[in-house]
Amino acid sequence: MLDRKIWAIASGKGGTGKTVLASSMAAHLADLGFRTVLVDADLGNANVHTCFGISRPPVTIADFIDRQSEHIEAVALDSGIENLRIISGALEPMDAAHIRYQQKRRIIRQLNTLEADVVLLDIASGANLTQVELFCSADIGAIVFAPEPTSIENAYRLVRMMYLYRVREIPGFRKFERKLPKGLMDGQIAPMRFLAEIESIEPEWADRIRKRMETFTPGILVNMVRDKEDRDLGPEVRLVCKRYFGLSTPFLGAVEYDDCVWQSVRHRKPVILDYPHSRPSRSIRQVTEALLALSRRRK
Amino acid sequence: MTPGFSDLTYYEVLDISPTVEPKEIQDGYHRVREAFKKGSLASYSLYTEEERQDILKLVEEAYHTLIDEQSREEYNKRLAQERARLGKAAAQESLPFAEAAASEEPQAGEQEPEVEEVTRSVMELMGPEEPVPPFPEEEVEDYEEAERKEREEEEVEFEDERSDLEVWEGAAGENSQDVPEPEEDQEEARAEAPEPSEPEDEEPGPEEEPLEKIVIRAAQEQEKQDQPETQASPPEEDKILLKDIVPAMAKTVAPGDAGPRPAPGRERESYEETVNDITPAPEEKPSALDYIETGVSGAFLKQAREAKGVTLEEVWETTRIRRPILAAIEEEEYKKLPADVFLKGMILTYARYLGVKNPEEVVKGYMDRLVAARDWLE
Repeated sequence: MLDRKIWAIASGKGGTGKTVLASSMAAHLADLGFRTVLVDADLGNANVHTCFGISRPPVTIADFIDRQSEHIEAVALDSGIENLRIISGALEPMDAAHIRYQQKRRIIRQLNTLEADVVLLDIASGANLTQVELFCSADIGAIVFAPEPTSIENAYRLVRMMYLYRVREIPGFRKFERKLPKGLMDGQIAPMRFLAEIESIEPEWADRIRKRMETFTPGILVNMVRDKEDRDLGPEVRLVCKRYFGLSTPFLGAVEYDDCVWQSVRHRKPVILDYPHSRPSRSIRQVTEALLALSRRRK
Repeated sequence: MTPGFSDLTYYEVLDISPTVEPKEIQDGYHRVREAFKKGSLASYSLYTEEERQDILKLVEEAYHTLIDEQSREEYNKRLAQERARLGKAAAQESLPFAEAAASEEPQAGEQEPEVEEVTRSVMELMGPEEPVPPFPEEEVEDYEEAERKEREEEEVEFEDERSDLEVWEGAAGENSQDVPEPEEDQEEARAEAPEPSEPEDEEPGPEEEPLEKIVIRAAQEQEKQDQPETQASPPEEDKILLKDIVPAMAKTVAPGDAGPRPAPGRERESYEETVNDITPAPEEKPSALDYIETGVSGAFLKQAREAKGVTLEEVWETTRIRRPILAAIEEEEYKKLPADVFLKGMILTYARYLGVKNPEEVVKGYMDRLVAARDWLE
């Protein structure tokens, strides 16, 4: 139905309202008739189930990782909403703190086999390898940030990590990397300067990297905006990403700060169902539709 | 140049398509400027202070080149030539369009002395500007300083906007005795209008801009001025002629009808002078009703705004004059207006934004009318 099935939502910093957004987006997708699975990929700090009023999920992704369930379908829970299932994250931080590479690959592989039109990954905040890997394995992604310095700073950090990860994924790059001066890949350098450096060493590689990055287009999303200035940060960050990283990062939209959001968290319901006519709910619907438009675009 | 900015065309700098309308040039300009202004959340963690200043300088250059129809056309031509040349040369090394174009510019050797003079005057203007502090500790102080300045700026927009403009336009002939052409005034007004009250963001420190660049830009300005009048005048429909719309203006602004006033064409108007200006000389006071028919009405500003096709919201976005105040200005709700000193700055900004021919006279006219109305009401 859609060309891109696995969607990822991530943020550089916690407290940006990612889980609230993801649960409402999933609810909206389900409402639109897409068979949706919301995956709590915040392994260790899971709380997606709480947003749907489930106190103690009977099975979680931990059961799948432990191979107590061979197939991931078995750990998908009914959310109580038509078309929407959820896969709860691991509840004991110990279970999930360090999942191995093979385990991650197995999760990613099986997500593709889920009976669904959209699989929405709610990725833990932060810019570590696990998050970057999960995000990069998705078909489309959105990076959420709040209009505050720390949040934006970490969002850039996340984008930078993803950039380097993507570069390293290019076949043969690891070999080429040895030719590069020390410290060039330490994660601090500005991508445009990095590219210029590579251009001077081996121009074909610079082309190859540029080409690779054309396919990396994470959307950006501002949450908890209170005024026009906050809202304008979306287009501004998009522009800075374009100039600094050379990436095209479509601006998906802004979602307003509103008390009804925390009310809905207290009610343990997605805000879009609890307060369907509120401004944040309206914006979440728009953002979801922006992502739908992206997922329909052919690769 | 900052990585990522060196090969950009002016259009790319403003993140707009080469076919856009002037309104979108303004929008693009504001977006980019907001993204790279001092302390901008979107960029502070990625760029150093120097890089940020370089970017802003480039943004200003791009904006001033593209917003003026004539210089935009010239730029397009240069761009096309450059592209053709690069295409022929198989583009082994991609030359930055903008810089290559700029280096072609100063072919006129006989203009040298004037250019030098201009450069000097530009340097003089930029002289008192403090250099960017090299240490991050001082950065914080600088923020506060900037904030304080900003607040002051709002109060005394007159002088600062003026000097700001002089720096940015390259100010060719600004201080010389040449009387600027009337079109010049308007062009300035248009170019300047969207500058909100934070000039410290874009004023370049003396050591950042290479001298050649200033000279080149000054030469461009000079060249523009030297061109025949017919070319220099923008299309008629863009202009809103004050006197066409408000015939009464002729009466109000006729020289010699109210105390000391700067000679026409005189550029710098001191704040005190302007304040004196609005105090009506008592012996010249005709009957109150007469007075109120003269001057510049809020309706005129409204009309000018509608002619330009912008909403109050859009005016606010550019001028940062709050909407209720704009409305009060237009509707002449005198009780809701701020104190005169603030009001004058706002009207000047607004009039420049609207691109009226003589913004200072609009201020004068409006204030005359306001004073008269107060007299009449009391």
